Amino acid sequence: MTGFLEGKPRSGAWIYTVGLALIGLLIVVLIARALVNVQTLFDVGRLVQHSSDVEEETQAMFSALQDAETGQRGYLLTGKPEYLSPYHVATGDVHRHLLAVEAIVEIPSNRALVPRLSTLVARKLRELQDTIDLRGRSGATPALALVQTDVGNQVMEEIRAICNEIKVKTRQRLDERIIEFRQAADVARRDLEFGGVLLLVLLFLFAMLIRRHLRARRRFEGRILESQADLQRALAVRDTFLSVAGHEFRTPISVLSLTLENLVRKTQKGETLKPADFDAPRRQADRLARLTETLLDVRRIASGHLDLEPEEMDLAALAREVAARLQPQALDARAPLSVSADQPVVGTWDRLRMEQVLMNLLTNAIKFGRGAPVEFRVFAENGSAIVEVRDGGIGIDPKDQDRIFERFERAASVQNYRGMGLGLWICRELVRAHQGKITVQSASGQGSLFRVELPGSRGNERPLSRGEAH
Amino acid sequence: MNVLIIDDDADVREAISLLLSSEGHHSVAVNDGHQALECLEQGVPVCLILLDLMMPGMNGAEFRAKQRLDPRISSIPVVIITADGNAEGKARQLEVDGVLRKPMDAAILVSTVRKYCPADPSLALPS
Repeated sequence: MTGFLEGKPRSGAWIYTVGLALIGLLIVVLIARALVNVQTLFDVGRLVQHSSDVEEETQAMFSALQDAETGQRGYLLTGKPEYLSPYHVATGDVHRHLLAVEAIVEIPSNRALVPRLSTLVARKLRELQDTIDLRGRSGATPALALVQTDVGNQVMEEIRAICNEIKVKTRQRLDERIIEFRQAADVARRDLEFGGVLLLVLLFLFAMLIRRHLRARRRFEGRILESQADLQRALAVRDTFLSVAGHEFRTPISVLSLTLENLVRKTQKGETLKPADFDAPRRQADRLARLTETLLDVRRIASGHLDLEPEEMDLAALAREVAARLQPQALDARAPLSVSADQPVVGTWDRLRMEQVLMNLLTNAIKFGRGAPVEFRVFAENGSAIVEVRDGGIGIDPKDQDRIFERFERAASVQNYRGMGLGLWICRELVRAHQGKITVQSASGQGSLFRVELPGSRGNERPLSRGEAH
Repeated sequence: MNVLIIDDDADVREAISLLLSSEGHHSVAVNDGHQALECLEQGVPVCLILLDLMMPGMNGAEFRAKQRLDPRISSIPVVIITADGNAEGKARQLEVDGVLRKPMDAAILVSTVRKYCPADPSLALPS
């Protein structure tokens, strides 16, 4: 159960940060490039307007110049002053439109033409005014002679040429800008296509990352729930153990209490107490002592403080002694106990701990033996001491055979059998502490054979068969 | 009339028998439900059954179920003696006449038996 936090997913903030930063960066780039393209569009739009204005103003100026020339010709031919009125209006328009052209022309090559245009316009206007003045002073003939020199016409043609050049250059510039705009539009389209796809890919990857992160989080939450369930199971096991342990202690205390009462009554009646009167309380006191030792062993084993005191000993002799001690219990359970441990099996083991192992195995065999015979054998085999305890009792289902060696575990019904679920666990730990092993062969309802192997034995290697036992 | 003691622990059976004997009560002790049913079927007169619950073979609950189904013995009062922490709950579940929790108080045990069984003055220890 420990270590379940090892799989804890990181907070995931970096995933969100990096993902959002990438997507944000891409959006910023796309917007910036779009802004550049929009600016180009504005420029083109403004240039279209500018081109139109330039064309309009130059055309208007040239038309006004033609109107002024028409008025001049009418006056020269007729001498009537009323022809001078449109002339004056037209010359005013010429000046106004020329000023406008000077103001709005932007293209450097066009701006270079403006001074020449201004000079020519001024020359044309002076030529018109000079002929008008000559008509007024000297009559039609000298004035028309001056017109026929064709100087004025040449100036007009030059003005027309400059106006056309300004118009053409403006249109060229517009065409160039339109080409730039189309290129920019193409770039913008590609940007949108590529950027859009990239954005979708990034969003997809980001969504996958978030999904993975959420899955990891769900798995972690699942592990937390499992750990909570483990904890609940551990608490349930603990509660069951406390209940069973309380039960185990109550029975010997009950016997001690009632027996003491009986002894007091006997004493009060003047009866003589016999040594046998103390057998039951002694057994129950021993039982309490064993229970206490069992609980202390749990602590010792769990904390790794199981200190052994090895000594040279005969395991067979110890087995006979333990069996003799348990014969009354076997008789009470109507389970005949046969012992086969005739040959010495000598080794260096902790006598008290070996006694504990043998007691636990035999007690279990008697308790779960349903009154069937119990066979107890100790012999040497291949340099190891072997202890076998066979009963014909309730047996152990194969699925429970590993579990029964674990702490607080038991396979038998609590409705029928007392016990704290510690005996076999302690046996296994004690045997392991002696570098040995304990195994079980059993089937439900067909009895059990527990076998302990302890290395380092020096004994007569002559195991007795079942037929030889007892 | 006898008190039938059903408990798998020989020392418990012996201690209760001795105490009841000192109070003038006869008792028969067996170590599981099977033996108890055998005893009752043999016609041993019983005025009260002291029943342990956790026993190998036939346990207390199984014995009680069979006893209640047998009209010949179903009327015999039953008091459970148990170390179970939930003794009262078990008593209600099994619909018995009383419950004594281990460790048992001798005086309460005697007074409980007296409710159901007459004492035999000849058996009681002389005071």
